[in-house]
Amino acid sequence: MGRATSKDPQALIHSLRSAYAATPFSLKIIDLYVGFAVFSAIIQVVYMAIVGSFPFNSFLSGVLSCIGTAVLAVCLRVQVNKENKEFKDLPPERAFSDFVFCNLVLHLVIMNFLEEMVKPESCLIMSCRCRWSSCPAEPMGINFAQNITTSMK
Amino acid sequence: MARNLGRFLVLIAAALIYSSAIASSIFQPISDSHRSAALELFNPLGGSFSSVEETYEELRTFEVLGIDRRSDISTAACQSVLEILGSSSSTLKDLFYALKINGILQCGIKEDVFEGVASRLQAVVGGASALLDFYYSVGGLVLIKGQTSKDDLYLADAEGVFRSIKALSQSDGRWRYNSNNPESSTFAAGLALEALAGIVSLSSSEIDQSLISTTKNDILKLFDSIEKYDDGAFYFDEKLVGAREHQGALSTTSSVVRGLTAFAAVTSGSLNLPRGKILGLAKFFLGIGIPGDAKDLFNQVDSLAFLESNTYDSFGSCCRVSIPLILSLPATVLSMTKKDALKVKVSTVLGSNAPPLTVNLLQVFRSGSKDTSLIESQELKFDPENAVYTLDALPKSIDVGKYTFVFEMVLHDSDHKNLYATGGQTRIPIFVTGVIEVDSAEIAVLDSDLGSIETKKKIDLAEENTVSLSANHLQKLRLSFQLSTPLGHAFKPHQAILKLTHETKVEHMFVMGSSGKQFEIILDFLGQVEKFFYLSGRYNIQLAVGDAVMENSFLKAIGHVDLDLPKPPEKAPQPPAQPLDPNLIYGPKAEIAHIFRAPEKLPPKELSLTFSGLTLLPFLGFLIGLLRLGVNLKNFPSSSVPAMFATLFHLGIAAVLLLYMLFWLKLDLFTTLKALGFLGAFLMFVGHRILSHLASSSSSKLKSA
Repeated sequence: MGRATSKDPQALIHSLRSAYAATPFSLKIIDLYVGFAVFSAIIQVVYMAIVGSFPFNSFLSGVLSCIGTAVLAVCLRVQVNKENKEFKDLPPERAFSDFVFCNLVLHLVIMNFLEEMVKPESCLIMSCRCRWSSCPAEPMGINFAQNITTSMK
Repeated sequence: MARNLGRFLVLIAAALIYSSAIASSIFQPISDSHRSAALELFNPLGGSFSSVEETYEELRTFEVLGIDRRSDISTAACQSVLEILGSSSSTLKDLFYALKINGILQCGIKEDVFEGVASRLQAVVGGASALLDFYYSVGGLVLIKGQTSKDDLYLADAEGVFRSIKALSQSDGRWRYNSNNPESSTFAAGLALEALAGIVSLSSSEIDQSLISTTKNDILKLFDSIEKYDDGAFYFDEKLVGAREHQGALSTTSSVVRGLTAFAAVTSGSLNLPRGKILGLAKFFLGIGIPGDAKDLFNQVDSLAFLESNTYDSFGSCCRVSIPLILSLPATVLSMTKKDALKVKVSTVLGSNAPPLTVNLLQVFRSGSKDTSLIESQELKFDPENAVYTLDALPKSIDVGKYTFVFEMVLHDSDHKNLYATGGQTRIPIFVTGVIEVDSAEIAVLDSDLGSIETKKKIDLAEENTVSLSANHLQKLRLSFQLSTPLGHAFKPHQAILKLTHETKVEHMFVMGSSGKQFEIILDFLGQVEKFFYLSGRYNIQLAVGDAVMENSFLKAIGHVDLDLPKPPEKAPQPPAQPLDPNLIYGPKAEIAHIFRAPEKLPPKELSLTFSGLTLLPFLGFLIGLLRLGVNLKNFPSSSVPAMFATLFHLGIAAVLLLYMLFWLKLDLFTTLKALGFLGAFLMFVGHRILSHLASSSSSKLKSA
């Protein structure tokens, strides 16, 4: 076994960068988008760690919105990637339309789950079940997002 | 506590005296309380009554009671009288009452107005068939005759009208309202008699005597149906129940009295009505007391006035119906200690003084025993200043207690004997109160087996005592005292009660037994342990002796006894829960302190704003990354149709996101979904068009490459 030298990580990173440079342009955009979504989620989690989870619904919907978007973007990336023989017959436009549709559905749910601000009397179906942080964390939003993502694959 | 109970006993005694006074039917003549009631009851809203009838009732009541309030309402009343008499469309009833008001107020109606009304009434009398039409028109004519200087106002065919009214009469003395209606009514009988009396006075010639005498006969028959209360009051009641205008006993009796006195006033010869029944009618009106209704008050006062003022008829000779005299007592409770004198007042029903007469106290009975009278008959002394008959000293044989005094009124003038109805003997219940002597009171603890006295203490029941005793369950407690009346007789009060109160407020009551003057109770604790709930400890002893005629009713503390009772066996009854303090039940409830959810702890504003800014950082990084990658919009379709679809696609997505924003801010789910349905369809269409265009262009590129 050769001893690891200080050059090894640099060489590794260099080779990774050169390998990544070969990735198609559209995939790079998606990667950037995923990175943006994940960082947004991380910032919210940090905020929650500092000030607490109140209001919990808002926190959940904020984080899940980011994570869900990231997952959907990953799905898109998987389908758009030409090297994936599995999706060879699927045009990228079709993948993009799925991405848009799933995003719209996800955010409809997210909006519903978001803590209400101004309309306590007009609340319906979902948002009324948890008023402020009086209820235990309900994994509904997560299930919803997961269901959608799994159905995508 | 003791003082409160004492007050309570006094209250009970007062209530007993009061209630028995009511039940024993002492009829008080009309007094000032009627006057103040009249002022209260006849208090029209805004100074005007709803009808002339009510206005007349008020004026008549005030006239009889001697209240001068005419100036208050006379202007308005005269105004409406003028209107009614002047109008040709006013009803018979209104005309009748307007004339009655004019009779009281003298509104100064012109002769020609009277003539117009009189001719109208004459016409009605000629063609009338219903009793009420006869009543109002004949009554109106009589009133006009009394109010004008015209003496030549006569009914053309008086006897014919008399006969047609008489045709409505029934065999039992009652009358029908009209010939079509078979139901007869006592109230109508009164109206008919009044109308007949009017016809007699309006007749130009003498009415056939046989008609008058049959009518008198009808009156006597009517009196056969008179009804009676136990207290000697007589009244007429309408047997016709469920009739269109049902009249109560008061208005029916009042109507009959009006008709009777009117008829008696215009006919010669006696009606020979039993005097007791006339007095009974007066008693009925007086027995009502003070009515709570203006109409009732009017009926009462008006009828009494008719009973009192029927002395002289139009022929100047004396009375057909006797004037009732009422014997009343200012006080029916006489105190022996204060040496109250027995006072009796005799007056007419309206409270004016009676003619010279002698009041005799005939008999005195101890109430409950109907045996012999306690006294000889004696005459009461007349005090002309106060118009009161007094008996200075109560008879020697009268002790405390409840008695029935029997009085008799004897008129001095033999002429008056036909004029007044005294009703023979008057029985009036009277309470004689006095101080009861309490003697030789003592309390003792006895040994059960031998009956020997272990401790014995004298007590003075005139004041509170603090005797201290102790006993166990094998011993007995004995309390004894004597009660005697001022005359030395034995006295048995309504209540003689021994009360033991445990420290835990559990109370036990025992009724004292008596033999003669001696009152005694022996409490055998062995027999009482269960009743005492095996509660050992200190019991406070109280004795209550009370009676309506006992002026010194008392509730006194005697002291306490320390009881040593055995331990309770299993299943022993538990002492009952003490009633809650009424303050706890009915008093104010504790204030409810509302607890609100404490607001959640929120982070400082700056921190939240900072993180809001921080969430923009990744987006900024995303944009920078895009720039570095060299993203451009060169692939945006250049030809117009796809470009339009592409723009619409992006705008559609933006619109959906905007809709979500609105959903969060103010829309509800249904509105949102509806809008989303339209937007989604649109988005799908344009999305499909642009994406298929892109797909075809890319595939053609691939092919060309």
